[in-house]
Amino acid sequence: MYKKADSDILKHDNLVEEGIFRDFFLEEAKEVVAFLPVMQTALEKTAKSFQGFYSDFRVDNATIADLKKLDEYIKQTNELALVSEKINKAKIQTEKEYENLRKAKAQADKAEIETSKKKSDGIKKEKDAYGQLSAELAKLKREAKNLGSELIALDKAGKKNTSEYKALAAQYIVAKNSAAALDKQVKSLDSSVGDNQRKVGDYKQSIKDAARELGLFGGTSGRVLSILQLWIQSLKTSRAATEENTVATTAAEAATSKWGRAFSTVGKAVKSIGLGVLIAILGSIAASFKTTEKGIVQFEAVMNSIGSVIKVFIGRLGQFGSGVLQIIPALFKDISNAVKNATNDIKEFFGATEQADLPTNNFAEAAKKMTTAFDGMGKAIEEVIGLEKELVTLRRQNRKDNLEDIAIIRVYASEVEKLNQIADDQTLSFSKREAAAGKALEFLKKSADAEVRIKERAVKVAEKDLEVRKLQSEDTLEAQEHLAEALDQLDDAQTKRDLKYLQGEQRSRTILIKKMQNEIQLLEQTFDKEKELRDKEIADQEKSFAQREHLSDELNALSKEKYENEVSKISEASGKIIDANELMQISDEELLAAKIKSFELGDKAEDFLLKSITNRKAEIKGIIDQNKTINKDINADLKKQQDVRHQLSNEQLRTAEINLNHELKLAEKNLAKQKEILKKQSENKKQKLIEDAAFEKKKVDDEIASAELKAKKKILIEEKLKNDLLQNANDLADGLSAVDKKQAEADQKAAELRKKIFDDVTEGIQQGLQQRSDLQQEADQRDIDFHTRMMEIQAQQAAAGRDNVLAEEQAAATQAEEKKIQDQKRALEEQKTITIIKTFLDTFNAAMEKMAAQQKANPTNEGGTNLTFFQAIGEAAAATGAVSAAIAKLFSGTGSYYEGTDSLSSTGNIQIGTGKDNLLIRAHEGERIFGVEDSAKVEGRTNKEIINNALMFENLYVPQFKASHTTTTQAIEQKHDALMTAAVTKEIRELRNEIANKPVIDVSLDKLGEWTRTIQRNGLKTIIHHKNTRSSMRRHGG
Amino acid sequence: MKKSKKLSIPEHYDSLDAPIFVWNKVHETSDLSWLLVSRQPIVKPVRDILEKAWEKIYDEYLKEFGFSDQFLVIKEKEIEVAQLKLEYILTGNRTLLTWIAIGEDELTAMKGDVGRGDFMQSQIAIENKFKFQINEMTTSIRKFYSYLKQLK
Repeated sequence: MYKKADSDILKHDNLVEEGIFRDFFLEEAKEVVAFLPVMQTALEKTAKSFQGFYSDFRVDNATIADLKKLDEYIKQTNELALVSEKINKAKIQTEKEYENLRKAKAQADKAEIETSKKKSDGIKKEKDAYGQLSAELAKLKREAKNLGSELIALDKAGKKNTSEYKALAAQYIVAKNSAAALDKQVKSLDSSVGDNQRKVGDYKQSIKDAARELGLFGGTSGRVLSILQLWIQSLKTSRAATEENTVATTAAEAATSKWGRAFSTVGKAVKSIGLGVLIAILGSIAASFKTTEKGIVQFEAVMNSIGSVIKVFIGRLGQFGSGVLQIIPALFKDISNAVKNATNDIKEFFGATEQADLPTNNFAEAAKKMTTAFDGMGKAIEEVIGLEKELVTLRRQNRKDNLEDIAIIRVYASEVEKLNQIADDQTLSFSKREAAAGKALEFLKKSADAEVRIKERAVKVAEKDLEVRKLQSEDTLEAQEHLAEALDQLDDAQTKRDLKYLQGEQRSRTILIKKMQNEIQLLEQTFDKEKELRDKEIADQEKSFAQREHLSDELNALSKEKYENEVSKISEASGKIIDANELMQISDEELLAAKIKSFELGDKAEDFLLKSITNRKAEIKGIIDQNKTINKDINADLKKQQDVRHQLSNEQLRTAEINLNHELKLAEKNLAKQKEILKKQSENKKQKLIEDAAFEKKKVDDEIASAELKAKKKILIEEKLKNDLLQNANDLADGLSAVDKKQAEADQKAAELRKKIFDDVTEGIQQGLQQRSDLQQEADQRDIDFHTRMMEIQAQQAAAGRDNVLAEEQAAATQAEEKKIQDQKRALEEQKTITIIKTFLDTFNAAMEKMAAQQKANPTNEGGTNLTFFQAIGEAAAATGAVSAAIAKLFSGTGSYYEGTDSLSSTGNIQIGTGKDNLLIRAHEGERIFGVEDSAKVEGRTNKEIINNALMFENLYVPQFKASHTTTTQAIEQKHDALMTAAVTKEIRELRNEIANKPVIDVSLDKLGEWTRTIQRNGLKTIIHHKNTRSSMRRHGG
Repeated sequence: MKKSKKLSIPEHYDSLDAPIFVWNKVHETSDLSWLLVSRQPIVKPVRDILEKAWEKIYDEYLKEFGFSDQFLVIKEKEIEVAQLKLEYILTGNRTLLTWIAIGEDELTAMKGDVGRGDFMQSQIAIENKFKFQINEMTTSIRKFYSYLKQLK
């Protein structure tokens, strides 16, 4: 007898073939299904490499080593195909699940659209609300005014001291205060969104006040406007003059030149009306312009343009440098004076006489410069005006767009707050909380998007502003700063948006997780409650069974007592000795009648006795039937208990899996998002650092004259930038590393959870099996007890020489005993199988994880060090073998349960008993154990080697050997057969291609009114499910 | 006939010069210990050497006499079925399963045909044709199959 290594006792393949492992693996162990894509990829990769082998293989030139290799490949291909088939079946199951999910998602999308519509309506209402608020304010003001008017009327009527006046006064105060409060609120609201229209009134008033203080009133705006037009016209004229190079050539001409005239005209105008009037009227014009949208844009553009023209002009003048002072020194001198004391120096400022006295000796040089300084100035002015107009239009449009976005932010901010309160309210249902969190998240995103849009507009304006400033040859430092600031704010807003969104998602996830935890808890409670109820029901049932048995016993006792009494009465009345038990044991009717007759009791008494015996027999039969029914009911109940427990266990498993999958998905999304944000923040910071450094360099260029110092400062800036960038990269690496760590922890947690689920399930199954085993044992014992009792009765019959069914009862009792033994064996085998499966899956999971990690780290499998799919299976199978052997050793002590086991000599640490035949081993059906001699022959070889060798001879050498001994005739015949086979194979191949591309229609009419059609073409399968509705077949009436 | 003798390795046959009796016995029993000149129980290192010797003999045989046509057809068929299985793995096209099943049936039928060959029949046919008796212990594998080749 050969005792082999651990791995040979129970094969993984046996489990697969028996279906135990397969069913568990593909249908019940869902966590394994999660590995399907990995398995599929591994399979495909292996399959492709195999394809290469086959296409390169040439049988004609093959050596034995080549053929062995071929055999090995074919064997592995067969295994691959088997696994692939299993994966495909699992996929089909997954697709069904997917379909269910898809339907659920469609419903969710529909609900989302409805929610979106409601929200949109909400915004509209909110916008309308502003109009309502304004209307309400106007109404309140009117009311206050009316009340005030009534008060004045009452006062005039001399009713100031009346109660009517006082009541009205109180109403007036309330209305006035309400109007003032609302007015304040609305102004605040307007101000918060940058709308200052409502302040125009105040502006007008302040201008009027200023004018009043100066002793001037309106009505002169036309004059001022004409002055402005004149000024602009003069500038245009002088521009034309400049372009024609018709500049003044003498000091006198310069003083009376068109430029000079322009200033002179304005000066005269201002002088004639006074500076205060000019300011007041400009304000009035501004107010007038600002009453319409178009006017606002025009006004701002005009004012900016004037400013721009002046700036251009001054810029050009600046090209004269100090020379200009020699031409018109009084102008610049008096500008400052005019600003300081306009009223006193205005005459001097705009007067022409002083300018005419300019010295002439420097003029020729100055004029020479002037000839080129004003070249192209008109075009530059036009461009600047155009840009200024664009800038104003852009700013205006942005402000309007911002208003809409601010409204969105305001509306959603309050809405989000409310929704978050609902989401956090633990007194509400999860569905409400989830819906609120979902809405809040959506609103939050919209709100954050609006904030980002506002910042984007600010960036656009800043960019445009910078462009204009550059064109005007102005100092762009301020504009650059504005742009940098706007970009910073935009970055902040974008980051804030991402973070807000993440926080919102976090809230939803928290609720979802809590919900799932509650669901699980509830399910567990339900499970416990149901179990409790079931246990109670079982106890009640058992009680009921015990009562039924007790009643049956009582009935029997009463029946017996009644019968014995009746017999006793007859015996006493007749004075004859009658053995009641003896009469009961006579089963033959004729013998019984003869026996009764032998007592000579008389017809009546004999009839009575016969009737008593017959009744007693009938009652015994009834009691036996009842007992049988009770036994049957008990067994049925035991089976039912088992089914219910199984269902509950399945439900637990399903819920735990859902929870696990959710957690995994959430963790993955969360961490991926965090990584994304970290990268984005780092990139933003990097850009900012680079821009800051560039700005610093520019400043150095602008501000530092010394080339040496400039170079040193620049080096310093660059070094600092390098350092900052390095630090930023380090920070990012640290951040990503922290996230990776979290990811690893999440993976670890998931793996532990998966293991826990599996352990729970396995333990549950083990418990279930144990319970089933216990119940089965109980049921078996009942059967045995029943048959034992029946056997005792029948033995009494037999002892008395009566008819009996002792043999049948003995056979039934033996059968029941045998059944009990078989059930015990099966229970042990089941426990063993579960342990093996668990070990296999544990090891397989670990190997697959390792394989996935290796593939990720080394996708091209350089060096061929990656674990292969079969190696993963192999590791699991090896572990399974080890466990299987250990269990076999463990169970070897319970040999009484195992018939047909063989004993082996003791080995290693396993020493049971003292004899040499003390170690038992159990072989599965179809397995083989070698005898001692055969074992000695193959000592040192694994079973796999032996099998490979045997199969090698069978597949490789023997066919060739036999073929070579075929006689000439046979050879010819075989050659013919081979040719025929080749021809047929070719035909089949062609047919196969034809059929594979032909649509196949499969119609199933299993259910009336419902059927499915399966259309298959080019490997694609389409399934159409038809469902017809029809009127009810139920007949009404009658 | 060549007899290889190596230190601590039992004397054994490793070429087509081995007796046809040895060749026949190994095929009948799948037991390589028949390659030993003095047959005895073998241990693993010896078995490994005998396996190599057997492969060498077989390679020589194939080089000299080639594969039988039937054997080639079987191997080609095996490769074809294996390729169909790989195609199934890569495409998931279940119609291929039908062709795989057909191919496997064909293979079973082909392998069944091979059983018709018989060493004894070959020996008798040679003896009838060439009118002498073959001594299995002294006739080499090469010689035996050369006779057979002439017969066909």
